[in-house]
Amino acid sequence: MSRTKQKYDIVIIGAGPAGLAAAISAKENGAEDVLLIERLDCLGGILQQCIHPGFGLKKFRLYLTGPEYAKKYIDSFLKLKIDYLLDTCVLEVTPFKKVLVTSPTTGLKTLEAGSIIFAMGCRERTRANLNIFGDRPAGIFTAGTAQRLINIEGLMVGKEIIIL
Amino acid sequence: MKSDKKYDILIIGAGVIGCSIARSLSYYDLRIGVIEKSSYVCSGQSKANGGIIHAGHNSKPGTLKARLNVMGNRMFPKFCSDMGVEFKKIGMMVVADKAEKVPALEALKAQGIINGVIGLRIIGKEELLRLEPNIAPSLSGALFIPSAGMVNVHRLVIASAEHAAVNGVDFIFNNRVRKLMVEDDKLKGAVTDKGKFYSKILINCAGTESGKIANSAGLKGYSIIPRKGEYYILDKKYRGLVRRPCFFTPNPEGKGVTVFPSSNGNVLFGGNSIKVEDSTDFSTTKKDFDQVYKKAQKLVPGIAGKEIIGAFAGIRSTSTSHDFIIEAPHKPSGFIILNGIDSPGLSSAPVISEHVTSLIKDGLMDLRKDPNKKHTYKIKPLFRELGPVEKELWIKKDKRFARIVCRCEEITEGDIVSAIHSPIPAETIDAVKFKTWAGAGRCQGGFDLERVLHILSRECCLPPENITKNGQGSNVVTGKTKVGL
Ligand SMILES: Cc1cc2nc3c(=O)[nH]c(=O)nc-3n(C[C@H](O)[C@H](O)[C@H](O)COP(=O)(O)OP(=O)(O)OC[C@H]3O[C@@H](n4cnc5c(N)ncnc54)[C@H](O)[C@@H]3O)c2cc1C
Repeated sequence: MSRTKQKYDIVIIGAGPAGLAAAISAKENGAEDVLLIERLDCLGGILQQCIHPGFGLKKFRLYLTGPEYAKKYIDSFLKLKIDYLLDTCVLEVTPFKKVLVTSPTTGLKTLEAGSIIFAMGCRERTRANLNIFGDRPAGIFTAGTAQRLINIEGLMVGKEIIIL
Repeated sequence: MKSDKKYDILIIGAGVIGCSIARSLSYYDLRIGVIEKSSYVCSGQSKANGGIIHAGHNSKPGTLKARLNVMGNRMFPKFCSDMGVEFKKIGMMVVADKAEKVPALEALKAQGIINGVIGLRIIGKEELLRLEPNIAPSLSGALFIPSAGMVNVHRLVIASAEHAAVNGVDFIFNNRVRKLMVEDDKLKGAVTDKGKFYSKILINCAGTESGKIANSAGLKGYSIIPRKGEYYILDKKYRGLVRRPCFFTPNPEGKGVTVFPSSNGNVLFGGNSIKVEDSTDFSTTKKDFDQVYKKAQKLVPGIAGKEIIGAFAGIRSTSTSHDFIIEAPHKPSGFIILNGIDSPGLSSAPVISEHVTSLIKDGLMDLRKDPNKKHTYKIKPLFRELGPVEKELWIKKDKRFARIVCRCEEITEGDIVSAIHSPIPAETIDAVKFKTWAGAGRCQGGFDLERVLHILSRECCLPPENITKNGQGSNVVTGKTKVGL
């Protein structure tokens, strides 16, 4: 997977559902060289931490959890033998479509892309963004961080919990 | 263990003052201990200021503040470069909001000249707008103070402490001094949460608690008027909104609200001054925010309240005379007290540490330089600060420098591991944050908290539930989800 080429027709940043779907459809529609880059060490993005069901009702007429839903995309993605890089962070994209990446396997590396698709998902607003005042003790999390700690890391964020 | 608690010199407080004194004294043949109640250096008011290195125009002529600020400002560039810490001499603006306030600028300039500040210049509206294009166009003019600057205060304090530690100074964290021990009018040491510590000389730089500690040695009259200041950090997309700290003409309570660029590339606003009862109240409040925000917007209208990524507050330790107090009382002997080291205490730190060294030499103890002590020490840079060739080299040596943990600030796993194993180990989430800036960016740790937690747990050989944000009781998680299954 890390035997990447220097040049790709399409480079997709982010291997969440959007990035995976983009990679699949690019390949199915004839793009030769496609590369998917993901910062985490697995494919699936935010879906991996959403272990509650409710995904896939429209698309598959199934009542799936996040990881189950992601797996459907990951399976079709892997079947297409598309190149991908995990544990890899994109540091910079230049106007001339050079993509600077870094990872322990590649080191610092510059790739060239015909087109670039940004599918990096979104970012939660911080408490300061929402102008929530007061003290700043340990134990205040955004929903996403708490979800990741509990569902992915298997760590409990508290015994008595309040959700604002 | 008992003999471990005997020192020649004990320093209470590991803020910018305690750490720079520890560094200055570390060149001598001495056993030095620094006792700090928090879990890391730079945890008191030293962490909760803007990092502005004042020029010295603002203090009343003849005060210790005026003298030490001007000298400290001159020493700052070398003080920082010696330790590999960046100092940006970007200057400062004091802006008059109305034409009537322009005479106040003249008075400030005259005061600065008496204090020995050089290069002061009153500028008109046009030049002000050329130098600071985003400042409110209705403002009348400003005093331009070219010798003021900006430092990353965390890096500075950490570098001083690391240098001291490399020279053998002991840092004892999570340890509060409860009271001092005096015998026959001589200071003997301190009673702490970790037992009694004995020393020949004790230096009290406990910030807001220094008065209380002095009182416990029978010294009266060193009290503190705690004054809170709040700061709000804007998203990096506002980089360049101001190019240097901009203040309004000062009011009786202080220098007032400022808008300034931080050493990390964010623009911040704040620095109000509210008298508080409780010197441990670091909360931010809506009421104070509304006032600060209004004033800041009057100065720089482009500031947006919805784009704040973080906020913090600090308590200034103002003395009743409003001046610095640095003295070695006759009774009890062997004691040096630093009281009322509020602003411009950071700016004065390089000279305060030399001043304290001479106080010791002049009457308390003969000091002998130790040839084995290192006179130079530079803090390890962050990976992101390196040039391309060095980056490749570092990655070749350690692949973890190629793994980004904090994507907002581009901090690598290598940076975090180095911080954990540095001369002053960064062993909490906050210590890692202040040493490396991981988690201090746009997502405020939203994406990287669990990764930093994981690295800390692995490197410190502790389960994640034992890792704290900033010391006892601030555990980040409570345990595993599937215990006993
Ligand atoms: C809002 C604000 C804005 C400021 N702006 C500026 C500025 O722009 N420019 C400038 O030059 N200065 C500024 N200052 C002032 C500057 O921050 C201080 O002068 C400086 O940090 C003082 O350092 P210190 O080491 O004396 O105090 P601190 O950093 O408070 O250090 C004291 C240490 O002692 C520890 N301690 C206290 N009691 C005990 C105990 N009983 N046992 C063990 N340890 C103890 C504390 O935990 C703390 O770490 C500002 C201060 C504030 C609060």
